[in-house]
Amino acid sequence: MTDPFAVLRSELMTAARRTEVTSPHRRWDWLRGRSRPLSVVIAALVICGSATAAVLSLTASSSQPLTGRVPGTIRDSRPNGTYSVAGYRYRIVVTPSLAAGQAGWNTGIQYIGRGPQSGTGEASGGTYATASNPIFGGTGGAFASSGARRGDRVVDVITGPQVAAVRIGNRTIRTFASTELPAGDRAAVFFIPAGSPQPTVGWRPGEPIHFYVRLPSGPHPGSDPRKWPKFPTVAVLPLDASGNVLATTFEYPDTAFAFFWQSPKAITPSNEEAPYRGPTHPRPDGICQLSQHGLPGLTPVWGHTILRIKPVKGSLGELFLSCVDAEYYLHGWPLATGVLLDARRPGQVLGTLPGAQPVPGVPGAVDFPAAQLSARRAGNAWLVIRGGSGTRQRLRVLEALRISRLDLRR
Amino acid sequence: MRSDRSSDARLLASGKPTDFGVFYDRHLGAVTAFVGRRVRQPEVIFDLVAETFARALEHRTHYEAARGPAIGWLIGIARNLIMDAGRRGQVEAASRVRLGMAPVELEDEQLELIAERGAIDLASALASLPAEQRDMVIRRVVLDEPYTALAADLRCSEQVVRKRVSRGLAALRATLGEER
Repeated sequence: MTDPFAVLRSELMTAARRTEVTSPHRRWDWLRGRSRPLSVVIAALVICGSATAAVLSLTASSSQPLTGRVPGTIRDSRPNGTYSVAGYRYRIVVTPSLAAGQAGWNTGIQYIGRGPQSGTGEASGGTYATASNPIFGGTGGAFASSGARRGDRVVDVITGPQVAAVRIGNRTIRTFASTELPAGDRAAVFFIPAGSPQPTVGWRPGEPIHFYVRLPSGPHPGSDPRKWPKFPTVAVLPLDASGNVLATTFEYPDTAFAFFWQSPKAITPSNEEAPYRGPTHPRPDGICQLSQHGLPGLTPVWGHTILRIKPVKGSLGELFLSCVDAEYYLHGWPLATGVLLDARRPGQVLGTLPGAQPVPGVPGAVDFPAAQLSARRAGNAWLVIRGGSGTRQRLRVLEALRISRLDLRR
Repeated sequence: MRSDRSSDARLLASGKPTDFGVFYDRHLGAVTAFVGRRVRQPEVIFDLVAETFARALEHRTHYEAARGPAIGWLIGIARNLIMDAGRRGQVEAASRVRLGMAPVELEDEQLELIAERGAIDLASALASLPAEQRDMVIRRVVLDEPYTALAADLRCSEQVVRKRVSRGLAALRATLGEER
């Protein structure tokens, strides 16, 4: 058996070797060399740039798909401190939040290919679309100061139905709908060259579109943030069908309190931390409850229950609200479960899960292998399982689990 | 594993991969024990430890010895990652991605080993310390109390507190190193 910490040490040493060649000092010199003309251009844009109406031009470009390939060719890691996702296939996956009491969508991107970046990616926990929250998810690539330094990188934004396009700098990219997105919602996917300003979302009226953030760096960054180097960022602006910029004023909604429980069978903290003395079972008065039958070895370890349901107001696209979550272990594999209801009208007929396809021979069951997610309809709820060793294991667990209570009167 | 008593600041500032390796060896036990006390799943422990050191490598020039011992800096990184993972439901991988580190596939035996390392009893390790050092290490590193508060409680200078924490951590490192 190889010691995993020795493998990690080796990976770190290789990474250190790469960064040694491109020392921070040299990297900052490279940026400083361009800072003067860049700052002039950006200053001009701050003055001239505006978020006022601009008719969506015919020159708006189409979005890249949710699954595609980054331009360029995959290269082996080189000892020059750079990395690249050029040539890799990418896949963007949007999945519902399973956390009890919460509604929202998580977004992830994964790179696949025969190269050192294969299997890497990013993820973000999102909210949901409302009139005041037009962009609610996405992954923007690693921060520009230390992100891909060769080739293009992928930026994706997940938007509400009202967003016809997004603008970044002087580019306008049309959004699109997909069966792999929440029904009604849209997405825009685009490539940006290495070294581009960092895209940001959530632009609010009065804020500049182009601005800087200061980050500590270099051999002696000091403790005064005013002396740290500046990095350019650029807001990704959502546009409606007329080309008007849609401002963000979203505030996080109040959610139902979720009560935690942990089974004595859970692997417990083993040192000076006080033993867990909290609830060991889901609260019996939880509005949703799960039970299991006929799958020895399926062990519930912890989860959350809620005592009342809080329907979501103002959401635009498809949205689910979880009324219970639990984590199970089976043969060492963790499987996260949740029961999803319609977020606006809990107990009413549910929409489809993005990307999930019917499983042949298993009535009511759907599967989305890229998201490691399987689900089964149970009345007007989805019983969802994420993780595990694969589709077969998830389906076995789905078969063993029941929603034993679903009381939406509270 | 090399025996090298260079200061952490020097190991981080040199930029040499071998020096970072020495730094990793020196602090791996304590970081794993810290994470293992707060997280149960071995694969998550491993990811958190990996991201902690990746972030330390990426930002090694930010470490300032004057602000406290390097183990405190590392544990601060680990603590932030744990909190972030709790909020997001998964462990941040941004530093590993930026550094081009390949994901490490873990088999059952390796997971057992990680769980074992994460279960190193910090309390036992701390028990061997003189009481004044133990209290300071727990309050400063585990409970994250500021030096100024500790100094005020003990009615001594901040420098004295720093010295006690530093000595305690050095002894703790030695204990954890032996257990490994």
